[in-house]
Order: sequence, then structure tokens, then C-alpha cells
Amino acid sequence: VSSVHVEHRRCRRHGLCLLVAPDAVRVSRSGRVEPVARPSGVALDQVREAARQCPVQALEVRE
Amino acid sequence: VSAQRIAIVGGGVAGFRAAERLRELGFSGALTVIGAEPGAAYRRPALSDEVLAGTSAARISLRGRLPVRTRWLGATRVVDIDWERRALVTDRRGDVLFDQLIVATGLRPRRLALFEQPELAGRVHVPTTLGAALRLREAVRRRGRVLVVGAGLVGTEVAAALARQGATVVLSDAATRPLAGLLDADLGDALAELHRRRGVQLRLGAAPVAAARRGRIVRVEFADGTVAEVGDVVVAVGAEPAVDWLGGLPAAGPGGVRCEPTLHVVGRDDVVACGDVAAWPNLRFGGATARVEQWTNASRMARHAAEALLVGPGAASPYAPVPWGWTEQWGMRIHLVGARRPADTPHVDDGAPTAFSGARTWTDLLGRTVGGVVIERPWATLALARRIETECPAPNAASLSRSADPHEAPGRHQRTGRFRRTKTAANQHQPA
Repeated sequence: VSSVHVEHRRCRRHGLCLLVAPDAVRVSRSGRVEPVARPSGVALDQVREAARQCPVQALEVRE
Repeated sequence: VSAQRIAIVGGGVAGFRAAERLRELGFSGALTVIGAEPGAAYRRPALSDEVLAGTSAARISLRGRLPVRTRWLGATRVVDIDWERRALVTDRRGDVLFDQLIVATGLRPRRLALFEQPELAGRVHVPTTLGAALRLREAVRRRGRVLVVGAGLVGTEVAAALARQGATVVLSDAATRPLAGLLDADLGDALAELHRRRGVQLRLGAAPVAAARRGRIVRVEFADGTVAEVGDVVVAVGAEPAVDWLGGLPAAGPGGVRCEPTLHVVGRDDVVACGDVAAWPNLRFGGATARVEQWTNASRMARHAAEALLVGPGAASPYAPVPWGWTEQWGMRIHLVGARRPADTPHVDDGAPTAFSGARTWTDLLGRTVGGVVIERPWATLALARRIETECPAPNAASLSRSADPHEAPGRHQRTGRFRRTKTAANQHQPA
């Protein structure tokens, strides 16, 4: 089971993960990036790609 | 997956991601990555920003691990290719044999002869590698006064980062505005004003014409007669594709390595290219062959190139991204999305055009939104990127004949409705 973590101190809220991983990442009311708890299938592929592309590498997928 | 040996030349994000993807796809042969820098791949855009502000080298590593059974030859340069023997000739590790090749050497920064004089050694910095960025950081901590020559992405970011650290910074460019090639005049003026307000001294419209050492000072004269006396000089005047090692490859030249839409190098089934060095026709935007100097693109493109290499030109799909780039200066995020050609028409989407609030978009001759600049509005960036994806759809497999003009490709374009122009999704989703 894979889990996704966001390093909030590092996140600059560029929003690229929302574009790349629309099924795996959303934004909370307070403006924080929130990944879905245990993504699988398409959502997992998306969030892995978002982690690779994140400008500040704030997303991490632990496999 | 028949190839036995794949060599990747380039140890940046593109080389790293290509290696990662090859193993993901089950490539089981010998894999070698050759990089000019001593260490592992890292977030290069952080060099002109976070690293100068004190972030440690360990904090700019990439997510992901080097795949198993990968030879990483650091601090090594390929100086030539022997196509007969299929061997990469390196400067210090002997020859590396290959069956297939991935070109990911990126860019080499331009230097200015004016600043190459021996008496200026140690005072002139080109901070596009980790080692050079760390040396610049130390030099500016010691001497505190710096001239940044070139107000492009690297120059403006370096100027902001160093000024923020308390240094006295002069930022010069021969152009009359910062980011002159990227921003329209009004946005460029507004960016200049932001730097000025934060204490950066701007010397715009003035190229340096003389430089000399005066004791502990470097004295630089500009074409307009003004002078800057500083401790250190940063040269940030752009970069060129690193192709000098690609002897005997007709597709390699000053404009980069020319590729097919699939990223196969023109004329070769056994060589692909990716990252800043690669010029290819992005069929999503009409197919003019061009390079994209963006870190996020390098990462995506490398994965596509790795896949294209394994499946071959017949089965590979065209690489047709919506490019997405960014710069952050004084805490302000500027996003550059899509493609823009001279014939495209600018639109101010919403917000005042001169304040840092609007999205500036461009439409092509067919009325499709092809690109834009968004400042400090991530939701608008997101909406713009999605709009471009819809209005300029990726080419389907059928449209991929090697000289296809996507404007004439049947089917997809006609189905694409025009996006509402006056009010975008961005208006309804203001960030909190």
C-alpha cells in the first residue's frame, strides 16, 4: 500500500500537483495541499508523476 | 526490450528520470548514466534561489532513487562518439559502449570574454552548478557587493535571493526590462519596480564594456558610462545546448538536437533526446521544432524519451505536453504556461493588466488559447493549463505522420468547443 505525504513547510502552493494529479490531490479550506489517503490505480500514477514534477519536491509517495 | 546496453549522457533531472523510467518499463540490460557534475541529480532551479539563501545541498535532492544496477559516472564528460564501435569516449573513465543512447546534456551557460580575464579569477561566478552556487554564496557572504549581469530568469532570481540575504546588488541587462523575452513590457516594468523597491539597483539598457580589478574591488563600466564597483560578478546571460560532444550526428547543432515528434533524434532509431538540449515539434501547438527550457518539462520529457527508445519509432507516441514553468522572486510566483509564437494575440484575461494580479494569455490565429503568464494566482494557472489542454488537444495517433500538420489533422480540432473567454474557472476559485 502506498501513502502520500506533503511537506507543508516546503510547499510553495504552485498548484502543479492539482493539474497533474486531479484524482489524488485536493486543497483544504485553509489552502493546504491534501493528498487522498491511500491512492491506487490512476490516482496513484498521477500522484507519482506530481511528486516527480513538483517544483520544490514537496510531495513524497512512500511505496 | 532487446537492447543490451543503454547509455544516458547527462546527469541532471532528465538523465535521472530517463534511467528511472527505463527500469520501470522492465529494461534489464546494462544502464550507464554519465554526468559532468560529481554528485547525484538535484533540483537545479533551486541554485538561483534557495541555495543562495542558505538551503543545504541535501535539501535539493530529487524524489526517487537511482534505479538498481545503474552505473552512475559522475564528474565525467563525453568528449566524442565513435559510431563505428558504438563507444562514448569520456575524458576520464575510458570508453562506454552502447547499443542505444539517450541525449540529456542540457545547456552550457554562455560566458562573456570581458569577465574571463585572469585577474578576475575567483570573483566571477556562473552559478548553474551546485559547486558554483555554493562558491557564490560564500563569496557574497564575505564581500557583500555583487553585480549580476543578465536579467533573465537566473539573473533576476539570483539578484533577489542575494539582496534578500542582505547583499548590495546591482542587476544589469542590455535590454530595458527584466525577463524581456518572457514578459510583456508592462509586466516587465512592474517586475523592475518590485526589484527596485526591495533595494536592487537596476542598470537596464546598458551592457558592460570593461571590467578590471582595483585592489579588492572589481570595477565594471557600462556602455552608458556608468560604473559599478563590487566584490563579485555573476554572469547570467543565458545558455546554449550542450552538443559539442555529439560529433558525427547531423541532427545536432547550435539550436540543439533535432528530434521527431516521438523524441527520436532525426535520422536515428537508436538515439533519443530529452530535456533542454532537445528540439522537437510539439504537435499540440502546430509542430514548429523548438526547445523548452523548463525543469518540469525535462522530467516529463525524459520519461517519454525512455519509453520511445524502448518501443521504437513505429510504436512510440508523439510527445505533446502543455509546458509549465515558473519563477519565484521576492516571494512572488510567476507561472509560464503553454507555448507562444510571434503571431499569437495577447489577451488580458481578468484583473488589471499592470498590477500583478491578472492572467495574460495568448490566442493563435485559430482563436485557440495557446499560452499565458499568470502572476500570484495558482488557481488561474490551473484553469489556464486546462483550457489550453482542451483548446489545443494532444494529437491522436492517426495524426502522427512524420510531416503531419496538426491543423489539417481530421477529427479532434473540430470537436473542440471554444472555452468561455470572459470568465474562467479561475474567477470562481480565488485562493483563500
